[in-house]
Amino acid sequence: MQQRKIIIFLTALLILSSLWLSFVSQKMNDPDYQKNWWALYFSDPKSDNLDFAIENHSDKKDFHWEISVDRDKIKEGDIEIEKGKSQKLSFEQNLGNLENKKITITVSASDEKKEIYKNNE
Amino acid sequence: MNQILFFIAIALVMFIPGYFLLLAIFGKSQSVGALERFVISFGLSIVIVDFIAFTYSRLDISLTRWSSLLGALVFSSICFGVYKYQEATKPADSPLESGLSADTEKIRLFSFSKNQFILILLLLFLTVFIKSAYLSGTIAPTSTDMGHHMYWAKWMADNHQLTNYEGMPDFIIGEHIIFSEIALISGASFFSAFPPLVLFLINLLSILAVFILVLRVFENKNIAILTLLFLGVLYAVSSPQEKFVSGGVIGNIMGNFLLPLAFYFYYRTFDFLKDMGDAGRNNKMFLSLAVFVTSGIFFTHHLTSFILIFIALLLVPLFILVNYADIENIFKRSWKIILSPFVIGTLALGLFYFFFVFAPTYVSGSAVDTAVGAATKSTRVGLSITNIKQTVGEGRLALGFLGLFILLLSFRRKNFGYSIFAAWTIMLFIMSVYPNWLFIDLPSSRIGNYMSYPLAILSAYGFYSIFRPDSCQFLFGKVFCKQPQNALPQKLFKGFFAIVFTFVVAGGLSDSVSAFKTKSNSEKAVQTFHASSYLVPVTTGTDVILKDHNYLTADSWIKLFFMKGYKYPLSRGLFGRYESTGNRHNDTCTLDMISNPRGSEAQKCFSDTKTNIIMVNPLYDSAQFQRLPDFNQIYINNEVAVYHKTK
Repeated sequence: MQQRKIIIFLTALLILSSLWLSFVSQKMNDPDYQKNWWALYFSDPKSDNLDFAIENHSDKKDFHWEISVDRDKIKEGDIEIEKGKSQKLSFEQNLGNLENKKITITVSASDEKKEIYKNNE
Repeated sequence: MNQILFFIAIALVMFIPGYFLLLAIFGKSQSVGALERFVISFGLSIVIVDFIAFTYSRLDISLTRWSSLLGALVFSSICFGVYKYQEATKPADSPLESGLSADTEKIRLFSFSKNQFILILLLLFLTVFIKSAYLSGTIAPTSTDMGHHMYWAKWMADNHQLTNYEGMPDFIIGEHIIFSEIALISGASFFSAFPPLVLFLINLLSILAVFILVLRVFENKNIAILTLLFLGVLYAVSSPQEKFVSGGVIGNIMGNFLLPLAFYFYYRTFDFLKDMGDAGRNNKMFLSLAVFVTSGIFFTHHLTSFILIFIALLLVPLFILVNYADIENIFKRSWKIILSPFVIGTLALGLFYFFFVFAPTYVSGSAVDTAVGAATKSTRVGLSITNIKQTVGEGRLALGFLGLFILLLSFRRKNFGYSIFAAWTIMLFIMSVYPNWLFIDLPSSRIGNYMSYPLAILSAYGFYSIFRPDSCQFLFGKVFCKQPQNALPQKLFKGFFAIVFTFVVAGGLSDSVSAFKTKSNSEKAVQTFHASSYLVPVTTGTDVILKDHNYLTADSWIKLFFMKGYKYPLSRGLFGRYESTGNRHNDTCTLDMISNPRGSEAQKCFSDTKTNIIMVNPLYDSAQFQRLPDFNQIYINNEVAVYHKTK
């Protein structure tokens, strides 16, 4: 009888521990839970296409973006992105002749700045 | 729902087959107590499931959710059928049924006083609590070893077959089958908590396996309970406990469960020698199970197998030597067991599977050459006593050796368990401190980690020997203890050890406290995973990715996103590996392509390997790519920058 009680006690402990650790693991794998980061990337990294996306997992909401050709800024804008959301920005309109030029996308939020670029050679 | 499926999968893969095998062998006999059945069922199931998977592989049956379920259920049903048949054909006054067998006496072993019972529950609670608390900070999938192992488990689950590990001898099939089957049955993600939870369970079972082994050998509940303290509660986090669980050191964790379990079966096989009685059916069965678990070890972990062989090389001569006077009698009685059809059959089954059904990858000349020979590297020439202290804990080392000393002084030569404990400790000590004596060429620290198990047992034994009610007679003899002038020294002696014990407990607990991580690195890991997820749909079969192991968190898990081979993506390894003594000094391409992408060596490497995508930490490795016109920076977060080589 005592052995059974020990087994039941241990099994209950293990189940509770397992449930707790699974819950913690879920939270740790959640890109938003108690985390503060954001990502910037080209939608199509291998072509000349300049569409890009900002994926926000930070507490910041207000993002400012700029497109520069070599060092000249040709386009900019602001965008609000909630935590856990992403926003894709497309550029169907003509940005001019970009051949042999470096196109840089710079995105800033508060004091944090990130950039991606393509060398259109 | 996911959790329920996970628990069902655990039960089906890790408990039910073993439970029914025990039922088929021992029926409901009290020769194996309920707690023993609980612990043993897990160990047997792990091995049974391996053998079922090997059979599937040989018969070209896919490893799927349903075949995994069916394998476990069919095996369990057959065992249940055997049990029912034996029940139906058994004489009514069978000793197994009547409860009046010699084992009835042994049942009392598991009948604890109220205080002992409460203490067991308290120690189990503390063990689970401390380990869970540590794991709650480290449960995220970040460890390098776990990433490597889970790649193979996922590969088998995805491809529905066993793997040959691309010819690599470092991995052994038994380490991964249960993870594949649990994932197949439950549908759990390899990135979830399930891999460390399975290891956590096995780690707890290893402590319970030691508990039942100690209880049987010493037939003393207090020593067994103290073992729970020294192995479960104290040093609960340090290697090879929860640090190995969260670190994914699968082979070691499983080995530390299967090794004491094999010792338990070997001990039960020869426990009739204690009173030189006759061996019965159960002894033969225990030896069959011992052989079965031993073959399971050989299919699970090469280092544990290697250690088991060396322990046996000391254990057998030691037992023969101490029983030299009775050896003829012992052999006469033992041969009946060893040569029984059950034992021979199990041994033949193990050998048949080993050589003809699914040979482990380490069965090759190179693997043996790697492990045997004069040690060449500084990490293989043996540990110092300071290293051992750091590995097993200062207090446990001191008490453990005191326990060994007392064990040798009070050696019960016909008790096979005494020989097991002595051989287990002494051989591990020699292997880890003086490997050159045995021509062992393996990392000494990896062997040293195994010492915590036998030293915990001997700590408990040593501690109990000093504080047992008749300790004075036990340690110093009746004459000394009867003299009244010796009463004070006795009290001082015990007082001294009470202080030592306080230090041991404080040291063991503070070791766990210091091991707790202050901050989880899951935020870094999710960013690595996000970058990997980004690359999966935008890359094709012609793209070759190179990532950095030095500065990226959880980088070994990246390959689980692509599943294009164990060595995909390519990896810049630890810098030391490219130095003249490192294992990568002949192939520096992965170093050159990240560290100096502009250099001529790197250019040649890019051309040869077709590498065109680089994943690095932007803080350390961005500048060299930003200067190059043929690299586009296509992705960035706080931890990972991805570059695409355009030409």
